[in-house]
Amino acid sequence: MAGIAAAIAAYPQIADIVTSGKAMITALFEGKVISVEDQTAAHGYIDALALMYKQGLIPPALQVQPDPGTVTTTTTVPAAPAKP
Amino acid sequence: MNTRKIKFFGLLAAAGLAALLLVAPGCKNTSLAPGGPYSYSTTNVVGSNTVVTTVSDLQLYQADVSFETAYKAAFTICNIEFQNRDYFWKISPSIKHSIDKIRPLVWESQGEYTTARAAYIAHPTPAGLTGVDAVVAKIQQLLIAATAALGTTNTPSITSTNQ
Repeated sequence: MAGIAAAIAAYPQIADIVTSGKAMITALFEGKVISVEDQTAAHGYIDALALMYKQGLIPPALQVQPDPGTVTTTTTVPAAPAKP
Repeated sequence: MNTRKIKFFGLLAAAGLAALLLVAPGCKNTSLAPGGPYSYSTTNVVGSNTVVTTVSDLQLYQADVSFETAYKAAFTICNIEFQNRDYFWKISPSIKHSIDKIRPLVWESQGEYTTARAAYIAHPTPAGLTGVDAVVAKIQQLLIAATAALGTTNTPSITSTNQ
């Protein structure tokens, strides 16, 4: 349990993950009514993901980048001189 | 900047917990409060009466929360590797390589879910929901794969930098 608490403290995203599922899980087990706020939060998050995808805003964490230590070189080829 | 050591086991346990929550069985008494974004009304004229029927789509809400939870967990694992790349690279380059295979699939599933969800909303039938559920199942598999990729590390702690 201490490990989980430490992980949540260090990575707020994990707390966010647990929170996002909490309303639904609680409702599922207790037979509660899911509030409009919880519905709006879920709907808003999915809408935001859709907009992000539509705009092509790939987060750096989801981009495949070169391995550490990989040397990338860029070669610039000079343009051919214009013919007189 | 605040640097902390966190227990790696705890991190995996939290990700695993998120994955386990996704398969929790439903309860028939659960319902959505009226007036939320998952409620929609249809109007029909029956004889001389106008009948307005309001329907709450609990299944779509469950699919959205399941996708959100799995996506966040998968993204967090990719982000942890990204933020601690040098550390994980020293442990094993295969960690980055494994997660690199998952990254584009997580992004791809984001688009697939958007498409499947829009199709279902346009025609809310049980058949349409299977497309949504298929993408939820895909992101859950990616979460399992991402957790396994990080789980190959045999280390007691990692360093997190909060910005």
